[in-house]
Amino acid sequence: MASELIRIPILQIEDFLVASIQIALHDRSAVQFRDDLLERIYGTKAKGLIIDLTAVDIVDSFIGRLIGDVAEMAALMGSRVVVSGLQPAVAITLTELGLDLPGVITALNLEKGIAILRGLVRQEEDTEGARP
Amino acid sequence: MSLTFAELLARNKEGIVQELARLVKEKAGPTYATVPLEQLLPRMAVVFDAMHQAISQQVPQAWEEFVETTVRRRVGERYALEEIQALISMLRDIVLRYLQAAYAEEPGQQIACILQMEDLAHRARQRAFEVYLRHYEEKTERQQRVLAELSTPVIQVHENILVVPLVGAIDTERARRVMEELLLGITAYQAELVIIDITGVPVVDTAVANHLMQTIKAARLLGAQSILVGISGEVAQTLVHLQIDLSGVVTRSNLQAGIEYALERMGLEISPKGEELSAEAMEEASESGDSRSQRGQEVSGWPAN
Repeated sequence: MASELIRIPILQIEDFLVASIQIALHDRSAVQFRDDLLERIYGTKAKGLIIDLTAVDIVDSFIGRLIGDVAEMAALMGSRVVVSGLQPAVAITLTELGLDLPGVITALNLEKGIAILRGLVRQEEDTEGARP
Repeated sequence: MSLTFAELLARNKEGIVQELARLVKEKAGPTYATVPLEQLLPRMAVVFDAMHQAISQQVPQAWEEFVETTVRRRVGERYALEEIQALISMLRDIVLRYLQAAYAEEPGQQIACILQMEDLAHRARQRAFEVYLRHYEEKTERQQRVLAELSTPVIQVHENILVVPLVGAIDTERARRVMEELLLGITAYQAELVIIDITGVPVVDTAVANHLMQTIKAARLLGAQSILVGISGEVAQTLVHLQIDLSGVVTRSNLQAGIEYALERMGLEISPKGEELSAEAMEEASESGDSRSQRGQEVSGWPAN
């Protein structure tokens, strides 16, 4: 029996997108989530994206890799990705799997994640502004 | 028709209990020696009754249970295992002597009774041994738990800054615990910087370095940056020789440098109390004697009044 396809809501706050995962993702839902995210980034020209994993207590290699992939793809589309609220157990699993998400910025919680994104965006604007 | 084993015991109860109590008091060991004879007598009578019941009703299991509960109580009262074993042997010896005398004419009956007594004594020794073993196992486990808690302290030195001082050899088990405690500490304190101090770690090999890197990576996934401090010259040599890649990890020579770096990252610094403060303290001191202004006075070396 095919598992029910679940779509994760993606919210927009200012220039940033926020997606909070509250459930254990099946592979199919996860792929759908990735596609939705990239589409939204393309559609909104968001400068940053926060994936909040506070409520996630189990992550497998597929989801771990997918998060890394999303970060890379989003970077190609000009958006920074912050992963926030990883649980200790999840972090241990990911490092044991060798998926330590090198290209991803991490934050303790959603609030700090937004603060980091704001800082990054401001930095980029400053350097761009200084160029001409 | 001669007496059965149980009848023989019942008839000689007084004598057996008396002799056992006296013998135990004299020879079983230091703890029994401190117990007055009047207290030992009823206790030995209880032992005798349990044995008698086991023999008359053919229930050695009940005897085992009796031994177990009694010995467990004695463990708590700090009786040594040797003392318990001595008591069991004494009881066995006394009973065997009675058997020898009573069944001198009936070797078949004698052997059957001796075997029965030996069986009970054997069961009792076995049970006593198990109780003691379990007791010490539990004790060791408890101590290991305490030691484990002591060996992985996570200390908050400032808002957002944790220090994890590691002392002693690190094996896989301990590395795992350090990682867990550290990650839990990060989420509990919402810390952004973690200073891992390995001054007290005598040997850093590939395994330890690998554990450290894993911990640092996991901490980063939570959103906390790690600072590795206290790498001695020797450890630095080993790390380079083993070609362990610590790039991407901030390292500082000692804990002080680590804390300074961490504070700087948070936009803070430790600075001496300057002129400004003493002026402020003077002002405050003239108005009220609160603790802060008093501290200011001490620092700037003014007379207390």
